[in-house]
Amino acid sequence: MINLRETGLEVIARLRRSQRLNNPTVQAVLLSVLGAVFALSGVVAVNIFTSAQFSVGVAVVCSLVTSAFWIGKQLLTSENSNNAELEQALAEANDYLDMTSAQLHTTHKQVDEYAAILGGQIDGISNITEEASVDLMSALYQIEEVIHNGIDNIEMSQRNTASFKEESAAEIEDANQRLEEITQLIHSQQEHDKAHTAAIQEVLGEIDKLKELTELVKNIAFQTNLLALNAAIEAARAGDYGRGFAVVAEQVRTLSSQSSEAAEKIETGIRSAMETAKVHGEKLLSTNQSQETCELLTSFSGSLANMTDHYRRLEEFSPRMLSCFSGVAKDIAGKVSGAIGKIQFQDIIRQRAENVKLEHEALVSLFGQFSEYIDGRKAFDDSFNLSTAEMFEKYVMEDQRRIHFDLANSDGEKREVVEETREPKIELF
Amino acid sequence: MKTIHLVDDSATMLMSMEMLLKRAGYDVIKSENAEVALTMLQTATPKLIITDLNMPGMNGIELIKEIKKNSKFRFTPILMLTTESQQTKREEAKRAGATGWLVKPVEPDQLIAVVKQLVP
Repeated sequence: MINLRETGLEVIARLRRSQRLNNPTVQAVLLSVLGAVFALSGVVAVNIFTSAQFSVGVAVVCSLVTSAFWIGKQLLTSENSNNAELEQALAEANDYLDMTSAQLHTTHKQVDEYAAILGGQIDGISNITEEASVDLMSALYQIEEVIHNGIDNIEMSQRNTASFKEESAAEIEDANQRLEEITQLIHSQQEHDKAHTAAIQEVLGEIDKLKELTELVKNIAFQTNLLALNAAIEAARAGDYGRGFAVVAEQVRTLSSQSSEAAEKIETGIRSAMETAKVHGEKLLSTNQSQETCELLTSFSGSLANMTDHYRRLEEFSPRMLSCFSGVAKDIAGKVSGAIGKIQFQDIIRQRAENVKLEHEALVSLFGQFSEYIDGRKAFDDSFNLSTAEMFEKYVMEDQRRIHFDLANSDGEKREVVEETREPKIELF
Repeated sequence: MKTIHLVDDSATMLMSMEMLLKRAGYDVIKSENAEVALTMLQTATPKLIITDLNMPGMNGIELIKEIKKNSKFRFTPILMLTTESQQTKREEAKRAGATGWLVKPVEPDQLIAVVKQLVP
């Protein structure tokens, strides 16, 4: 692995070492020494070979060497200038990288804190939604319980209604029959009352006739008394011969008197009997309300018949109403069950949020790695990689996988392949 | 009594499944993780076990392996109820001894139909 920081530092050190050679004083001294060495060498060579031709040649060579050193010096000066610029650029780059690394550290720390906050928020959302789901389900459970109790009650009511219908039908039939019997009885009683009234009237008439008879008896008694009186007068005229007749006359007179008394008593008795008969007869007639009672009972019978009719309609309506309510209640219960099923989405959302959290943590970790690479001036290698393919494999939900695929592949052909190869939601092995 | 053992770390799932299964006439016992489930299974003998896959601690497939070590549960059906749908995970669960795989969210009617198929 190449360490950029170390490499950079090495380059700078070499430049600094070469900088010493590029110092103009050092270079001038070196050139002077070299020129002196060459000139001394030329003089020595002339003295050795004592040839003018060689001396000129040596002088030319010395001149060329001196020129070469001068050109070299100029090149070194230029290179020195370039190296200085390069060193400055490297130093600036290093400073920038130091600043970048420091900023990355700071940013990584902030992102890490942000990730922690985000993770806490995601956990909070999961907890809150779970609590809300549990509360919601408790409410749904209670609603479902109420509905099912209602359905049970309805079914029980239907059974009771059927049983009651059978019982009440017999009762109503019996009541109607009894009412009919009572009506007939009242009619019969009314006829009897009419007969009784006529009989009473007849008795009263007969009693009135008895009064006439008593008048007749009283009249006979009066006539008999007169007759007895006349007989007594005639017996007195007859003297001794009429004495027996006078006794008879007296007896007849006594009898007449007794008859009269008897007639009085009979009359008194008849009057008393008539008054009593009249009082009781009139009372009987006045208390005879069988007609009204009959009419009342007939009206009551009609009302009862209407009530029976209404009740029968209610009996027909009641099962329909109960059936309708039962159907609605079952429909609601089904919808409640469906809602309970839908609450599974809370768990799905929770897991999805946890996945988001994990992927976010992976991003933060990658950020940290990036910071370390910059800080260490390291070359990026294969270990610095956020594998989206691996992330795709880690996705736990089919729809998430699909979204990922849609984002990664805009063409529709591969999508169709995914659709075709999607696993079934329910599978028994 | 037809008892079904539910294992899920989600209170929502435990409650909703309990309501649906109870309404269908089943008795339900619940565990919030695999460890609790294994403890409860030492004394309970449910007719069916429905477990989640991803749970804190032991996951659903590991739970199935542990359960199947007990000969008492050799023929007890175990359903995986999970948000995951990968074929590889299904195969792994099948090898561990799972009877079936249900992907959340599952429709109540479909859930009850599958359960009735396994526990008539």
